[in-house]
Amino acid sequence: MAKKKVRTPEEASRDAAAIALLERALQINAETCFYRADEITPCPIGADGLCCRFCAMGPCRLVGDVDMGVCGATRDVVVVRNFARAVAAGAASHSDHGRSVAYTLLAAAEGNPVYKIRDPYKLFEVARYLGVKVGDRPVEEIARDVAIAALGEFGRIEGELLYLKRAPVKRQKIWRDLGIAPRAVDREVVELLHRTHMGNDQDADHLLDQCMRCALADGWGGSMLATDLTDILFGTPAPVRAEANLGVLREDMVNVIIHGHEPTLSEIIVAAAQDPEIVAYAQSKGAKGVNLAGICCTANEILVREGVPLAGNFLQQELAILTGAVEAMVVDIQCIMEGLVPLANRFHTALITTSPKVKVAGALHLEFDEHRALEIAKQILHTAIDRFPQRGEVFVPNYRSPLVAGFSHEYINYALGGSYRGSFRPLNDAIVAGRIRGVVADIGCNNARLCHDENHYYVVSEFLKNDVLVVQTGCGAIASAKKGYMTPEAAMEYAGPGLREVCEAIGIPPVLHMGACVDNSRILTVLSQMVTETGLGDDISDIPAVGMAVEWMSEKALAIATYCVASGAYVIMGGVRNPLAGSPEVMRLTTEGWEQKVGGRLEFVEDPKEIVGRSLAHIDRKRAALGLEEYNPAKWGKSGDWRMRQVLELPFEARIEAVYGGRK
Amino acid sequence: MEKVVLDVPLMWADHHVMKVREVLTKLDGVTDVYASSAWKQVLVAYDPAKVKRETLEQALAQAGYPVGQGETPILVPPTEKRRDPRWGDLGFRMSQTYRADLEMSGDFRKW
Amino acid sequence: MSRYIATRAIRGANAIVAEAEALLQKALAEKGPDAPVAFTNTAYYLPVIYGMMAYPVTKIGDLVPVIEKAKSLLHPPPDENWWVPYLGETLDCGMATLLAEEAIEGIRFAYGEQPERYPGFRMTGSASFTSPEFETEEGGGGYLNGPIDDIQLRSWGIQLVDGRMPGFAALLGAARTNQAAVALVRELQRRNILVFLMGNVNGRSIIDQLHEEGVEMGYDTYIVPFGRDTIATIYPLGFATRSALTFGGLKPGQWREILLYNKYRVFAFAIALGEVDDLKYATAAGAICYGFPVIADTVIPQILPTGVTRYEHVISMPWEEIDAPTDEEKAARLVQKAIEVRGVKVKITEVPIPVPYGSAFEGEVVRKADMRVEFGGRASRAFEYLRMVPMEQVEDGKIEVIGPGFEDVPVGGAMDLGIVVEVAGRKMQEDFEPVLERQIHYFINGASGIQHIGQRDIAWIRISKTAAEKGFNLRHFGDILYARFHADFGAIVDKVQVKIITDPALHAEWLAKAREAYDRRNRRLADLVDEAVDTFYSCVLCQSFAPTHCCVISPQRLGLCGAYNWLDCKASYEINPTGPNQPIAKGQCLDSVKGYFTGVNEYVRVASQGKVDTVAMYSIMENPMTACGCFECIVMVIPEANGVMVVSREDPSMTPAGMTFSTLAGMAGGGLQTPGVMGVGKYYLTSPKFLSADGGFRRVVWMSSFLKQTMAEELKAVCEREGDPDLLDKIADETICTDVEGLLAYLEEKGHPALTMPPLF
Repeated sequence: MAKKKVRTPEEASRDAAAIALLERALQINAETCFYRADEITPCPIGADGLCCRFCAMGPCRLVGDVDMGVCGATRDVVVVRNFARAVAAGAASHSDHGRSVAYTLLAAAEGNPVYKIRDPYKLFEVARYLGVKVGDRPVEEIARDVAIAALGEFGRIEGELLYLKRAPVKRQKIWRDLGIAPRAVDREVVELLHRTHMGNDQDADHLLDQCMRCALADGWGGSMLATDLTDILFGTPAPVRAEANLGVLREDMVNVIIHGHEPTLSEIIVAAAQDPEIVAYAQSKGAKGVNLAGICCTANEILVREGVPLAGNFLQQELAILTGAVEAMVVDIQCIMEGLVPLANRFHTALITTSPKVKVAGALHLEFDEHRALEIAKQILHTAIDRFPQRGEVFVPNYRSPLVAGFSHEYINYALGGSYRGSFRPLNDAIVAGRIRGVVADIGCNNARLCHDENHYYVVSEFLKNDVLVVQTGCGAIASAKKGYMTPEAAMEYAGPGLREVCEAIGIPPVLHMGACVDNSRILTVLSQMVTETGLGDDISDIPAVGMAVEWMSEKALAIATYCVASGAYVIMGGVRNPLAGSPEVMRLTTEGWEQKVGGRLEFVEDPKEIVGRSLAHIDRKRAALGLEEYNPAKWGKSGDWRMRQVLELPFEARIEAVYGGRK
Repeated sequence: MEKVVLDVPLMWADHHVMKVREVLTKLDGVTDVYASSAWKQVLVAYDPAKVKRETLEQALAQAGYPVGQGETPILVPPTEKRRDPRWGDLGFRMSQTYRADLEMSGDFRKW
Repeated sequence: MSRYIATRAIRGANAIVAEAEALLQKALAEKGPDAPVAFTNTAYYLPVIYGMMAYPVTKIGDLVPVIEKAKSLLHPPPDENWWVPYLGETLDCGMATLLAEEAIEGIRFAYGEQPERYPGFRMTGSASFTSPEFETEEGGGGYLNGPIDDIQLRSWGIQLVDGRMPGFAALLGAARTNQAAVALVRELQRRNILVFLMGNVNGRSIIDQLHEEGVEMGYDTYIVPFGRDTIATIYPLGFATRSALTFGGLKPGQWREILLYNKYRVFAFAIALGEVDDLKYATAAGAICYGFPVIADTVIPQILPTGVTRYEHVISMPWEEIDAPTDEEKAARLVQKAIEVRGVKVKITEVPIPVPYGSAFEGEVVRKADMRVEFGGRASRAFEYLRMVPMEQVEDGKIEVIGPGFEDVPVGGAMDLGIVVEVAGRKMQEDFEPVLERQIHYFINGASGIQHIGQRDIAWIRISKTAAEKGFNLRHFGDILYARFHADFGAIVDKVQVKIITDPALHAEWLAKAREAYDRRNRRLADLVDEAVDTFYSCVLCQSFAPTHCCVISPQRLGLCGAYNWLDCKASYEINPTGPNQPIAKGQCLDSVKGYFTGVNEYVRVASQGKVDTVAMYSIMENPMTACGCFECIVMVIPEANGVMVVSREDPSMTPAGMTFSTLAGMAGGGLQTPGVMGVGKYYLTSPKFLSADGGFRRVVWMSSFLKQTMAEELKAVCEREGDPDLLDKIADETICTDVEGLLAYLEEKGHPALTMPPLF
């Protein structure tokens, strides 16, 4: 392979721990995705979405003079088909994840000894939406009916998804009028796949409608169910302190990294790691115990519920192994790089696949069975502990940042008024008044083609400066956690005056960690509640808010982007090339076209400065449309503890006078 | 005449102030008392010829306000990871705007 | 919250709940679980606990679950660094604090420690409101107020509702100086804001400060001293809770609605005077749950983002930094800010007189010993007469004093006085004359140191020595009336001139003219029967409090609060055509006996937001009119006696229905139709249309003695009209019996007509 220009570690990442480990990789000549990204030129035809390989008459490359495939498929249709396949795959991933959780809930309801209903209150709330009677029935009975009702949503025979009624009334009407209200989760995915088969739906606009319907089935269906049912099983997140970055790995403990997306097994591993038997076994091998840390969204799931530290985000999975301190990396589903296998083989690390859906050649497979969950968890930990004595040279960069995570929409509601007055009124008020200019959800992945975390850091810091409240999920959230944006002190340091006041009033960090990427459904709920709370218009599309994935890479990100747009949001996908670039018409349809239809638009913007600029412009435009006051940071910043601190420093006698203030 | 500032951690509200003042002002030789529940401190001006500082402290201790001792009870101590220990049993998970919030926020004081 | 406030409030909450628990254990050991716990004169038990938990506390043992509930609301205080959010937690702790504080006050009551003893203190009495001669010199001294009783709550109802009383201010602690204390309170009084006092700083309370400065405190002056510690703050919050239950039609346990009701409809705020301790922060957190903001006169962290309250949550205005030269002006600024933060709209009419002016002074009593001069009463004759004259005969703003002033009258003496107000206006009607004339009473009473009683030619005015010393003279009556008529009735009155007459000859001449007019008006009123008009009026003033209640006011049925009759509504409609009083075309009469009209039904259906679709104007048995909460009397059927009882809100005693007024009020109020129960204005008793479908006044078998005494004349006339001149004596009252057995025996003995009337059911 011809040597391309390879980025230096500083060019490849903005994260200090990652840079240190990339240097380490160079030293020990280990290959990572960063290196491979430099080595491999992305296929330009595929990048523009112009490679049609939907039948064996092709593949047809619609470049240059070629503007039709063998069958006559136009660029517009080919581009949309490629996009549609991605949306279908993304929606399928999240939704299938949701289905697994529903089966776990069913198992818990039917007496599985390991899984319990940890949050019955959430169960009652969900039961209400799913039309399950609560009354004074036993929790297990309700849980069983909820699980079955949830599973029913995947193959619903008629009607539409029950969760759609959680959206603002006006939004529901838009979906119904356009005929894009999803009917059943599986059906929409299957239908989208069907419609992208050769010789099928060949009207770009029509096909894009089904993209929205399929994505909505994910956002308001599979994902939302995944979030809710996981909360019922493992608890609805509330703020918790933890630390982030590879520095959380312990030299004196058995380090087990949990990586992937489903928390069903990881939750049990968390419990098992504290089991005295396991601790004793670890000690028998010379370790102080078992240290768990997470990568990707499994990390987020067990962070927000159990406070388990974050080892890093997507692009740090290989780097974690490079520390030489990881005894086992336990993976479940999604975003697991196959490149882990050769890397793990160079160290003592056991790469353990657990999901019946995911095997990686060369990895150890210990298949998860929810009825034997604890046994398997212990087996995994034993495997890890057994590797501890084989640990070689260890290189753990000493970087870690504190963070506060766990902002479920239920907790945000509580945080804004307590048990008695909880509501979104204070948030809406803050936006109406202009203390908070708007809200940005920066979510999604890392992309090895970009400088790791650079875009996340940049856009978040810019938004904070501009009094924009940032909510995050997924790997974007982990980036901000590592950067220190998720501490309450960050509000004083990075936020504009209005946002700082709000953060100080509530005690929140200026960037809220709302969970895993499947938990973007929480953001939908928040937006809906902001609408119904009144003051910010009567639909999600009226809210001064922007969604973005500034380092996106996965198909799930496209599905999320699409359901956000279909829910009325302005969404910017950042960093890499626009996969719709091959068709100006499709780009028009997904921007102006969708804006007309559903009030949201999907844009692909590579330059982070441009992302920030467009977002702020959009926020200000929405503010103006609502008739809100123009954003003016000079008005804010007068509240807070600063004045009190001056008084506190005085001696007693001076203080009792000083509280009345100085004579003017 | 001497002045002393005493820390009285258990004087955390103004009904304690009444008691603390009562105890101190009764002592012969105490000329002025400033009892502050905000700062949990008392400033006592007294005549050392008539009353000793120890006497002040004894009197306070007897009344249940020992100087420099005691702490207000925290009935709910924080957890290790600061997850609110109450969160699990608060008893509701709101995911919708409460109906009354909208109904009651309507027109009021029209006239 | 700010983290500093959150930390202190959460600490305070933990501490007070622990203290309450210890106190409860002590009380359980010393008094036993069955020892009674009750606040005086309220049907709402311990009101905050009752409202929030729907749990009636009657004995010490009942407080155990309350403390458990309070404990369940506690949270740990936030850390110095790397803290987790605290706003929701602090607000929960605030509610825990309130529950604990109320439990403590309940236990203190059980120990006889509440209301707080305060030697040498005396509240201004309300008994003297009817006549200065009822003055009692020693009654009720030596104690602070304790909880406000239900009667007072209701009688303030209409003022709270119509905005005359914009809300209440809880002043907590001690002001910078006595002067500042007085200035703050005067400033609030001037705006007719109820002032509640409690707390102390270094042992000194604002109550002490006002007491030292001789400020009159009591219901009548709108200043209520609750207690000298912060725990007494529970009383105003209990008052707030009860207003939601009383006027808002809310049920105990509807905690969220009760709190929101207060946020949106009760305009209250707290002013923290002096340094703020843990418990004050914790209590403030509780107040914020009610939507009440806190303004401090010291340096404390500010919480300016809004949402839980309507505007800013916590404001700091360090006293020495308020940019004003005097304490009075600083107080004005502080109060101004508080009002702004609460979003209270307060209209003040500047009246150019040398004494303070505002409705808060309406209840002030001028005792004989403090009196400079009086007009009317036993030793002289005073009258007031307002008439409409053609435009060109009025010189706007002209105030004439005809005759000598009171300079030569000896101190404590009396002289004759006539007040003649002449108004002109394009929209003025002769019918409005009595409406406007009746305002003279309120207008003049608003001046501090002036007392006005009665009306027409039985008016009785006293000027205090203090007011006279400040330079108040006869001309100022004119100034007051001129300013107020323009301010309040500018829509129908374009020009006003006032004659103050002391000249004996002219006095006699005008008195004769006035009497002629009174006579003419009486005849007009007698002619004004429901059948004679085709328009009734609505009154939905109380919808700001009771959102589904609508009064239908006809010439023969006045509003249940007693404050609005048909003419008042007509005038009110002229003044404000989009206001709370709208004309209701009677429409077709469906049933003239029960009083069903198509127009009324249609109007009520809309105005009650669909809750009520049929109203009988003259029946209590079928679709009776609903009530808000500020009725003067409750009429309730006593089935055993085949009649009704009438309980006045001044009557705290038990009734034959087995309930006191307060408990009954819960059934009658809230905008619900309850056949057999009705809230009415007391003058409706004298109307020929009073329960006319059910047999009229002869159905009354029991009536509070207060009504019998205060309305003796009027009721006597009614009895004669009903053809049974001795009827009043046949009606029982609380001095005769408070149970059904006693009542039946009495009715039998007296031969009450109700026993032989057709059965009610």
